[in-house]
Amino acid sequence: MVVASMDVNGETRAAAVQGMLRTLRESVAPDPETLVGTLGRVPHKYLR
Amino acid sequence: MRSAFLARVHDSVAVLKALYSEPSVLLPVLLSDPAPYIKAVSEAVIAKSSQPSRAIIRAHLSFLALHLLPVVPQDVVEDAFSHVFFPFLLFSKPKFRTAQAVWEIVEAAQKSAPDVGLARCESLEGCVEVMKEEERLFLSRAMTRKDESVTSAFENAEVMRKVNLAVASRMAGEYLFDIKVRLPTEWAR
Repeated sequence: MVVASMDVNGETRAAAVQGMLRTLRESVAPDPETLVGTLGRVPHKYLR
Repeated sequence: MRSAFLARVHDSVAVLKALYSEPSVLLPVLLSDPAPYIKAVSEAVIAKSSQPSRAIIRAHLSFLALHLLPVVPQDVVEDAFSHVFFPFLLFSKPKFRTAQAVWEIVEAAQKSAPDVGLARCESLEGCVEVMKEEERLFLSRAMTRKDESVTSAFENAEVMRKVNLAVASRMAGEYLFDIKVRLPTEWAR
């Protein structure tokens, strides 16, 4: 995502900054789908 | 992404509010190398050309004092103190509101993190207490006189002078101490 050198108004730049922060937040948060997938690969004996 | 964030340090209040809206997300990005960020903030708040507003100064200094400085090594804190906070600490007629706002940020930071960051900055030791005492004395005198026109103690030239003198003496004391420690090495050369 490129936000530097933006010739747009402040509102747009603020939204872009919030977008970057959201991207960062989501990139470090655990993905619930991955967790489900991991559980799906747990050997059958542990799921009894 | 880091350079994009750094570029926004020079932006408007609205953009700064967005930038500093999630400290826990922004901090890891800046912590990998805080020096360029502190340099950018210093340039943004001291710039003579743009005359940054009090809101811009407050946004930068609040984030630094309350979020970044408590989690960086002390040499980074001292660097931020010298280049970002120090230029705003002395009171003057045209700048007393800014000085007051910056001291409030320093006080809040020292209260929220009493063992790290600005609370460990030796040059600031005891300064908030000196200010509070001068403010208390002035306001109690105003109350005795039943003077209701007083809005801020720091608007008063005598309070400004006393606080400036106390802060400057405190800081000069630190520098004298530094010189004393360094002198023998200097003389040995």
